[in-house]
Amino acid sequence: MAIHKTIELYLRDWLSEKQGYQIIAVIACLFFACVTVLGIQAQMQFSKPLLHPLLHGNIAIIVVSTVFLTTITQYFWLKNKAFWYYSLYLLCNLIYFHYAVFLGSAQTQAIQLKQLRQFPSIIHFIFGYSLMGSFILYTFFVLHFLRIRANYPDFYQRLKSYTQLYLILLGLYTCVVLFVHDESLWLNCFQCLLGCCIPIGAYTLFDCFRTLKGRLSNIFLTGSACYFLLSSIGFLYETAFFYNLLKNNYIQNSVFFIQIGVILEVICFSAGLSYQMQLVGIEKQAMEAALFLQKVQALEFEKAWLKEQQSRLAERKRIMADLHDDVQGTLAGISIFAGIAQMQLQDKESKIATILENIGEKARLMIDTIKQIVRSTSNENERFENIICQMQQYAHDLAANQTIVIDFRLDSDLNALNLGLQRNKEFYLIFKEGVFNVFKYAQATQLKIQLEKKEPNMILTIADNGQGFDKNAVKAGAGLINMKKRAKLLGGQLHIKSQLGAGTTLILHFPLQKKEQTTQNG
Amino acid sequence: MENIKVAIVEDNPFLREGLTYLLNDSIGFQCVGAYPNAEHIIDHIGRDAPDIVLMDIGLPSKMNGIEATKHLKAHFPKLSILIQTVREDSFSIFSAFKAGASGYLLKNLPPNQLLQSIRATFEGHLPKMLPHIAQKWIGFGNALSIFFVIKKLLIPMTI
Repeated sequence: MAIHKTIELYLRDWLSEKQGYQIIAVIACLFFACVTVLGIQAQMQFSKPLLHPLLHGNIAIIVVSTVFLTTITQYFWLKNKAFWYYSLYLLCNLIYFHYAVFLGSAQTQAIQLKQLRQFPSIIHFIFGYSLMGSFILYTFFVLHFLRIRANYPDFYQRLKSYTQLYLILLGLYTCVVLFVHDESLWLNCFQCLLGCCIPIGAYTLFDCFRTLKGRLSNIFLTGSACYFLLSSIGFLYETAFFYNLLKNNYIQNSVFFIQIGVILEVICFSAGLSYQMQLVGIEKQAMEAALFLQKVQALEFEKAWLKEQQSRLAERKRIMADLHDDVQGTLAGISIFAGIAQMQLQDKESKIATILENIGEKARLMIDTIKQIVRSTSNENERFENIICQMQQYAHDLAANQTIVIDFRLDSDLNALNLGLQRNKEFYLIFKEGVFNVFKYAQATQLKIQLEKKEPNMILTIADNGQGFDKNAVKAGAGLINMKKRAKLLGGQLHIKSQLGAGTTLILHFPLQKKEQTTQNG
Repeated sequence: MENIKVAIVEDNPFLREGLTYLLNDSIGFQCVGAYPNAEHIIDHIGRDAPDIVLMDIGLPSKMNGIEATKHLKAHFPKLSILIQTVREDSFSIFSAFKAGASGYLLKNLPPNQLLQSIRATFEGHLPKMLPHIAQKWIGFGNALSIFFVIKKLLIPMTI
């Protein structure tokens, strides 16, 4: 039979998995076993009937406590919500059982019991609510255990409305308890109404079970059936007892039946939870396999993409090489021919000489332009030495028309840097703007450009001995604002020191990222 | 004054032709050979006996310009070789000098400056170099040992 097999599986799990919660469970078992032995000894001494609630209360408490400890540890171990609600549900039951045992022992002393009844203490309140709370937690457990919301949406709706009804009644009952005397008719009415919820719930569940399929729901069905049937027997028994229909008093109250029901149910559900974990394991394995397959597919896709990219890159490289060698060579040829033609002209000042000069000049310019295009499309551009090269060229080009001494100071290990395309661009544009400003406004005769690496920072200093400016009087233009923005993008700061007649110093300060500091030179 | 005999190694026929014209039309220069690849110059250098070789780096043959420079310098130590290329990366610059090149020129150099550089090399001076090329050369040299630079680089240059 299915349940038999699941219990067997559960036991096998129990024996094979050496996990922390088992140790806790064994300790708990030993503890409660000791309590039971002591309880039986007490029974024998006082020669109470064999089925006294004190005894079966203890047995129920042992079973439920053990399962409670196991499930709550399993919850922390496996993070399955079903375990959480089930352990809370068991906790509520445990509290109620302690109450029942307490009542059972008190029942023999009628006076004490009367005192208890007359004084609606907080203990009564807590115990009463623990039983009601257990119903709600039980519903939550069912929701997670059978994954009702996803698997049985119709069932979910009915269970939801049932829980809502129960909660409303519980709320009303609480109001009545707070304002009405313990033994009033109102209270009894509400207790009856709440009692009605159990058969209504039972009906809802049993009706819905027809739609449930699979081993998991069979286990659940058996457990719930045990609980509801024995609870109903308990209520019937109590009614019969109340009207003196039963003569023997071996079983003194209905709690006994409920407890037997709970024990059966607990066994079923424990087996069910274990089975569910197995299912989860299987699902997990299937999911992992699917994920693995997905990964393999993604990898293959990536491989194909990379191959395509590589072939594209090779094609681009070929075009670039053509541009680099053939076109630039031809342009150099044009420049040379223009030069020869110019040399052969008798009149060096004629219009043709100017035209030839222009042709040669443009051809040489085109060589530079193509070089820049090739650079911008290749990884070469990322190398910092190319940036330094561009910086020097830019400064010297600007200086060609002015009498200015440029002092370029560079740290020797800067070529090995690799800031990446974007950061290279930001850095170069800050430099360009800074140097351009010197040539445009400063009227300087000396320009000092210093680039130094002070781990983990890079510092660029552009200092001139020009006319300077008053920072308060001059409004920051778009150039300066852009420079500051770019400095921020580099993760650094830009400082400008200037005084009228004492030159201007611009300092850019930005951190180097780790990967930027260790690039091979070559 | 004796003409400076120049051999050209350049794979671009248009530029090769242009350089040949330029040298033959300029006073004091003579183009003794124009070759499309390194193998050709190695085969004909004994016959042509140039004073200076104008060498391109990127050549379609098995040997590139730097390897050809090394080969020529090994067999004709007194020969001056000027590299003329579009490449500006420090590796090319350094390997050119390491191979024994006397100068490193870029192809966007105006014709008169090219002639000046050839003459300067012939007279035993270093040809004028663009500042960033010189910077790269020095920078790369610093990265390796100074001894290596002096032995392999400066000695052949001063010959």
